[in-house]
Amino acid sequence: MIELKKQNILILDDDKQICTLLQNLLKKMKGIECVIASDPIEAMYKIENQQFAHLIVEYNLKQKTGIDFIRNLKRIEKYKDINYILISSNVEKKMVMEALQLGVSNILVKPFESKDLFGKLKISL
Amino acid sequence: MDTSLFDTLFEPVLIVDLYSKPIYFNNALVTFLKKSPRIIKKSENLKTMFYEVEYNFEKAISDVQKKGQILSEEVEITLDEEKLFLVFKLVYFEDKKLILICLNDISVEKRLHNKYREQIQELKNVHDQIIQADKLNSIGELTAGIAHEINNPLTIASGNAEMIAFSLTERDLNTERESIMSSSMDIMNSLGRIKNIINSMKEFLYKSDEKEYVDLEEIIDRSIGFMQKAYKSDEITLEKDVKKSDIVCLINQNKIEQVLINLLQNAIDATENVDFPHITVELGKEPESPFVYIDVIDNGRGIESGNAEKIFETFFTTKEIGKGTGLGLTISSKIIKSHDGEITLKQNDGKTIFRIELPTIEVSSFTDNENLFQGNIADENRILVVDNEANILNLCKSFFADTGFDFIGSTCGEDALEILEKINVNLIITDIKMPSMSGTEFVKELRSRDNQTPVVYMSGKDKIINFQEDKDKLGVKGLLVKPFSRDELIKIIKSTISS
Repeated sequence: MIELKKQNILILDDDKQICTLLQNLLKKMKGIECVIASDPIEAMYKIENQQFAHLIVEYNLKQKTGIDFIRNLKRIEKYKDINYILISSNVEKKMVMEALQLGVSNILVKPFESKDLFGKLKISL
Repeated sequence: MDTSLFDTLFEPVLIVDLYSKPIYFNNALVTFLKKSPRIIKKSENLKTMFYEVEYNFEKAISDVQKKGQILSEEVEITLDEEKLFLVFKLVYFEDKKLILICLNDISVEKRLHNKYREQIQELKNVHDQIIQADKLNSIGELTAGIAHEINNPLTIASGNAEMIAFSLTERDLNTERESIMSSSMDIMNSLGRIKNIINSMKEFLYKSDEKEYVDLEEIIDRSIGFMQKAYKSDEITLEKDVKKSDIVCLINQNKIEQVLINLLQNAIDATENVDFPHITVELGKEPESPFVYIDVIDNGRGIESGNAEKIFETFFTTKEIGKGTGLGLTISSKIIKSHDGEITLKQNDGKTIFRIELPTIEVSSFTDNENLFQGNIADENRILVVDNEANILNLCKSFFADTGFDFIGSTCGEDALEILEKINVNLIITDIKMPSMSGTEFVKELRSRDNQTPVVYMSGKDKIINFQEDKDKLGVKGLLVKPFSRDELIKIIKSTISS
């Protein structure tokens, strides 16, 4: 039996209900551990203490945009290869351009289905 | 009579006798009528000469002999397929028994007037369109925020629906019960959130001119709710400061909301890049003033003193191109003026204050009726008002002050029936549309208890039919259409009681 490599995911969204929902959905997948953060500072703290394969970030955060947050992380060598997924409720040209420039091509527009999310996480059902 | 002078005139002139037979006409008339002089000369009277014209010449001839001089209304005449407008001036020369008739061709003026009227109408239409466009514009500015507000709960709802689907595939459903319950709760809450957003948007966009009695605090809450997303993301602190509550005004809710949203949007724009951005919405009333005020106060950039005069002008804006239309404040001030109020700007201590003043009805708070049951009140002129909306009861109570009528309020038909078991009243005013017991049901029950107290219905225009149905059946004496003024209320009470 092939053991799936354990994958850690961090979710950053200031809407707690969204965080919990994504956590519950991802719990259904075996071999996944989900951590949630409701602001960038909390997220930063958790990233420093744990290794994550995927980072799900909301674009519309209170203090700054999700892209600003990803940009800061990408400057640090060891966070470069994390699979970043940007979620947003609104598609704006500015946001898409910024994301692509940063090399983030995984954008999920709310409302999305779990299979879209799983697809972006490259997890086969 | 020397007529040589008339021949030099450009205006058509003719002279007729008392039987309206032409005696003389000048050259201008020949040119004007585009007929040969021979034909004109042959005309029996004015009627045959101006057969195209609908004008009562006989009456004019007899009138001018009494009055000496008359001016006709404008009349239409079609000559060579050209439509012209004429005014006849008739002058009576008594000594000669002759009547001088001058024709005034007012076609040019008439056409100009029509054109002018059309243009004014067009301007009015454009003006309405601009107001609507500004409304859409402010909606546009809000769309990003609204999309977020809607899509977030939508994600929660659809995600939880999936959660339920997952749970249902489990073999033992009992262990999943809790998760399914919490998911379905989340779904319902989220859908409720969406419904509220859609409702407030619809109300905002709905073009209605009706005015209602509204508690201003409600409007402030709703406008702030609308802007929530915008100020949240900019870290602006927004505070509501109610100096005086229970302020009710006769206003168009949507329009006042439009004004408030506009002022809040301006305040948010003005506090961009300011340290500790702060906006306060204050509701209050200056002593002795017949007006209430809503202040929108921000600590933003402020308005340069040179611009303070211009900000209410149409198309004046200091915002970037594409961001503002320069219409917001113009329209806001128009809306407030249509409510007999005023919107003003004040600046001091680094604060920018936009003040909306609206005429108000002072409302005393509607309290329990217990004190009434203890007696001490004369039996005459006691009136019971039944309405499920406390606002309306408050309003009636304040309308009753100094009228000599005693007010008793009740928020539902059941309570009202109980009150009526204990005391007698001279008149009952009841709303028709109430949640538990309708006005009709209430009066039916009342009559079945052999209580013949006169009843007046109070309702919106849409319920007139109910009144007509119950008028004879249940002895309903009158209908008070909402919104009503103090005078209307008092008038209907007095006329019902005296009859």
